[in-house]
Amino acid sequence: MNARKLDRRSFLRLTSVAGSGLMLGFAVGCERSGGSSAAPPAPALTSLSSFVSIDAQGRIQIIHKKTEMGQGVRTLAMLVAAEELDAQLDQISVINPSPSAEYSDMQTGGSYSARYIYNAMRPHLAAIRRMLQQAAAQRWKVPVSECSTELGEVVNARDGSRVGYGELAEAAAKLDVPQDAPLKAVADFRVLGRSHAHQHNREMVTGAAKYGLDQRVDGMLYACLVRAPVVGGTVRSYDDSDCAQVPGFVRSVQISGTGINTFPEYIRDGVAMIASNSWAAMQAAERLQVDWELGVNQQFASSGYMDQLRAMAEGEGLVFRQEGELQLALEDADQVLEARYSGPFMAHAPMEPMNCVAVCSQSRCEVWVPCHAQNRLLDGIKQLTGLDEQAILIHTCLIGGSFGRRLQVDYALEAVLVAKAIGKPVQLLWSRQEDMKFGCLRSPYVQKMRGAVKDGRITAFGQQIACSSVWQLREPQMLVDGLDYTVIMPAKILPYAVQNLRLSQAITALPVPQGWWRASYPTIHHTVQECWMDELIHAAGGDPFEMRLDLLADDATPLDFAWQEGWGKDLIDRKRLSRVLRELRGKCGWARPKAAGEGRGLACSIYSDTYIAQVVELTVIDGQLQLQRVVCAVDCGQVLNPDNVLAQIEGGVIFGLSGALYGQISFANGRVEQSNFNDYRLLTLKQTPSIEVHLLDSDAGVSGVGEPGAHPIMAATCNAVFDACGQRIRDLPIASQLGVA
Amino acid sequence: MASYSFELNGKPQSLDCPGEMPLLWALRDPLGLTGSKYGCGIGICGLCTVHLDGTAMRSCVLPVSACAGKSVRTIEGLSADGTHPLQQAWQALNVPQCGYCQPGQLMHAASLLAENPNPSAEQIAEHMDSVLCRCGTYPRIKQAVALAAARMQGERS
Repeated sequence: MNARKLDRRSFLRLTSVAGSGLMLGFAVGCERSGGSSAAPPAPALTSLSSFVSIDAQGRIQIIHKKTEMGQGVRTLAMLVAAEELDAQLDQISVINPSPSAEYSDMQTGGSYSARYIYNAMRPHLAAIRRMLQQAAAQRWKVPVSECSTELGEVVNARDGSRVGYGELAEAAAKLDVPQDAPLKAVADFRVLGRSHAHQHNREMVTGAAKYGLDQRVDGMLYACLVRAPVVGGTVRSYDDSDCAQVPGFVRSVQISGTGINTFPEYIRDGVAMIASNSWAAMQAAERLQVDWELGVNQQFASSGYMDQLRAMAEGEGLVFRQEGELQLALEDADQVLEARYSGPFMAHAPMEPMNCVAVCSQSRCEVWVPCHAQNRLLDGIKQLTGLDEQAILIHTCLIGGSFGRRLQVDYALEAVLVAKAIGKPVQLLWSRQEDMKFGCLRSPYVQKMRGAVKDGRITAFGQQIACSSVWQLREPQMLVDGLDYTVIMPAKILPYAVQNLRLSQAITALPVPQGWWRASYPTIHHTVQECWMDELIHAAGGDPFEMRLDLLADDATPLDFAWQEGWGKDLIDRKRLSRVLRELRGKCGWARPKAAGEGRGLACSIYSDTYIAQVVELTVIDGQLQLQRVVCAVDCGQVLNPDNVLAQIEGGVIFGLSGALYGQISFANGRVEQSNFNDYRLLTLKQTPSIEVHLLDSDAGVSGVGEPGAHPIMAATCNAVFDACGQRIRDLPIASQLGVA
Repeated sequence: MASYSFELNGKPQSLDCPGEMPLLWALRDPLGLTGSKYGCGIGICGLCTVHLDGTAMRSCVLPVSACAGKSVRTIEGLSADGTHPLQQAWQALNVPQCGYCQPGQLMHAASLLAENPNPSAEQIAEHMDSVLCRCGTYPRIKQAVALAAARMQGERS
């Protein structure tokens, strides 16, 4: 391994350490366990992507592949760097690079960043700290063992003298990178394990923070895109003569899109309206007259595809986990249960609508974009423009929420097409209405559930999943023998020891852009499985905690569920889940008496090595649901920034509650029926229950919390409704069946 | 196109634009103040909240013509140096996640404390109910408004 020496600029800058012993730290504990993100797992030995530079003033810059969107990964990178380098927080800054061969795999998702940052960055940082110590040892002519580090300085144990990292950087850069620099012991941590506020808070509360929509480039124009209202629709002709009356309107330009199956994204056909300000572009868009060829999807409607999914749920399906004999267990049972569950499409609706600034000429393309799938975007730009990587520069902006939406890069590719067409810098803005109508949605589903109870025990559990597959739509090569592992894995990891199991999948590819929704399929399958467990436990006359714990009692060895080849496996530790359930039972007041109309519901889930259980307390009085309290117990392994973990779980709970109560995107005549927050409602502040989060001390490695908070909450809510009023909610959203206060 | 004059964050401002242009877009584009955020465009989400003569208004549905001769305050002018008690409380309780809605939340909260320096928890919830957040920072927003109010009370007494 070689350090890249930028001596001219007095920089210590270490780059790729691929193949070196240092990388062991990256490989260990970082085995990809699948999850929501669409990228394949990082190979065990890849180039380390968090680069570090230290200038002569001691300013430390982390070049970071993970993107900040509210989940705290920028602050976490600073904390890990401050810890392992023994530096001060205020000497550290973090930037995102433009994706390239050197900075590859830039994608943030799957609740994976904390684990990645902690495991991948630390060995690298430890080596740098060691080199700084060695440089000081040479300067002082003392053994390295007498050079300790403290708050950005190396300290000489003999005489107490100190020298700052900046002063040592140039000499350190000339040293070989040590292969064996020891990692700091967790017991010696002074930064990690304590709560730290986000480093970006001040700019966020003063309005200084620059999101994608706040980017301004010299000579920039503003654009809106009038898109085909139906997937596959095309422009026959258009008339922009009324637009000239809009002050600030510049011109219109037709944009040719791609097909719904096109990789990486579907871009709708449309007409871009260019103006000197955002409002003028929107006004012009309203006046544009377009004659559309609507195409084959103009009859696409909720009733049709939900019927299709219902029929699929009744079929045999492809079995992906089978134990015992479901059919025999059903025949032999005291009670046989069967039910269908369903849920609609859902939108992400982040508060910052899609947008992107782009400049694109024959020879280069530059974009400023709130995006966290930068390599996907790079591939898309290469494909659309024919430019090579060196001619493409992607600036990652602060992101006003994503929840998976911006793993699709359609909006950014649109901006590139518009910029290319007009030959000027342009900011493309999606209105909220467009954000609702042209989103990349979470799949709808229907699931047929079966189960049996005999002698007070649950003896059978059957689940036939019918849904639309993100992969089948656009990346069918990712399917293995017809199985979509992103669909099946969240169900396959069912942790309960039910003797007779049959889990099967029936997928289709509905003609709608689809994406990952705060994990997507886990929010579906964990909801259905945990509601179904509640039904089975009720039928068996058991207690929701006791009976789950009973089914988790055989906990000697972790269960081992394989992904497709090359994707590793998920280990499910029943002991950890039991511990989380016991903790929650102790904290939530499960045994407290209830008044009429009060209900409590339990659900739990496992995602990407994070174990979480939640109890929802609510009331249903005169058909009106009112949320009261949510209690969570979480084992996410070693906790790095506790307050941020709490915030992510709180946020996940509220996100999941919005989905459970209101989340529904429906189609009629090929068009989305919802248009804004009036008909795609979010939970409001007053509706939000009190939320308590209890973190368990855990010996396990770091695991993520961005998504898991949203996973059990839908089932816990439905189970609480049943407890309160005896009504089973099997079809979401809840507000379609109950009033919500 | 007409010319409109108003006070913006304490300074005189004039702007040539169509009178029906929403103040939000006038602030963000020609005037370059991007702290006020676009979220829904129909006055539902509250991210664009500014103060017009001290009253919280949704600038995405407030025509520039309605601001003529009046005083407009945006998040950039909530305090000279980011030290309004609400801004401090927001940081103390680590409220922001993505942060995109927070300028609107803060401006809306500031209008409450200006009218009612000692709001009850219920009054805070009632008032703050009309600004949306997708990340789920509501529990901390409630606490931060109460904390700011308590600190302002402390300063007064």
